[in-house]
Amino acid sequence: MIAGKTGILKRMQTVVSATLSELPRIAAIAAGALMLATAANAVHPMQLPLLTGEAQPGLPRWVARRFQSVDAQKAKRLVDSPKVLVVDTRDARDFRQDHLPRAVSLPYHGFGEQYPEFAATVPKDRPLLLYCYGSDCGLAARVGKRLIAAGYTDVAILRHGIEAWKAANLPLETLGEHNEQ
Amino acid sequence: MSSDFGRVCIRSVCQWLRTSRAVPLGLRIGIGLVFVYASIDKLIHPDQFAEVMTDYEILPKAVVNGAALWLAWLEVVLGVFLIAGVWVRAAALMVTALTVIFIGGVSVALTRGIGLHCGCFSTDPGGDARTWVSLWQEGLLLLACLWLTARAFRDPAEFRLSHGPTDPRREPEDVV
Repeated sequence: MIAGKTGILKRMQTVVSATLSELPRIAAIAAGALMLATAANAVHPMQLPLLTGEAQPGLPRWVARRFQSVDAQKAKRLVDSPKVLVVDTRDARDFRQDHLPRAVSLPYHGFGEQYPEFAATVPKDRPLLLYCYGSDCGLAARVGKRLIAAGYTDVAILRHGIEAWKAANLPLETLGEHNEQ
Repeated sequence: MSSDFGRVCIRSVCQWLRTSRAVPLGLRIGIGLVFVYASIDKLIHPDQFAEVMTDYEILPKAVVNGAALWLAWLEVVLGVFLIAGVWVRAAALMVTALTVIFIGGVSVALTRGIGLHCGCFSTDPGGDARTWVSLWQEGLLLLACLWLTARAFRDPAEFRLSHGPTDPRREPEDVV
């Protein structure tokens, strides 16, 4: 019994010392990958900031600068303008429940499948107003980034999403009331 | 009679797994290819991979970009090292650790009820959401990584590029 325990302890000691002996190589691999990542990011079109602070992860600074962030009142004026296309980036189920007037659905989860149809019908210079759920929701920015990368030039995002719209007691639509591009 | 035959078959397979040089070679290259393949979409779309990592809600948002960039390159470096047979012990340890961390991350997210897309091989957010059942793939990968790591530590000579007496990587325990 004691011999068995000693055997296990010895074996564990061997495993630990063998693992420790690999630490310099592990550190070298990790450091090499970090250097490659930094170098590749510097030449990548997206050029992500390595530390984001309060900004949204995955959102390059040059894209964030091109978004126009609007409050509910400004969004209302945009919604009233027929030139502007209102884009709901929430899941289709939530879009069916309620959405901003004249909004079309282009959900983040499903962007790949729905974007070709969107691109075929919406010209690149058409002003877009994007929104999602609320303050913590980053889906509008994620979809906006993809649209800017695809060549859309005029993208605005409703700050605090549909929550802000509801808080301002502005009207909503359900599916079927109005859904044209 | 048939149970004896079964036992003999299992023993033969185990013996073959223990002694065959083809198995560790195939596994090493196979795992290397999996990691290189998994990194491709992340290298092309690091921003989208950062979004996937954000959805796991494990890391602080401030460091997600850096972690996403580093992880994608770490996967490719480890994959290439495994395929080339360079620093196999260290690489095998690291791929095992990465797989454990990944399974842990998915499990934590599933426990917290976060419906997320894997981000394993594709950063497309439209992919299938993870479930407990879909973790079997990572479980299988983890078993393979553990086996490779154990083998790399048990028979280091099997994974060495050169076995010559003047090889500086030659380790004392191999000297007879």
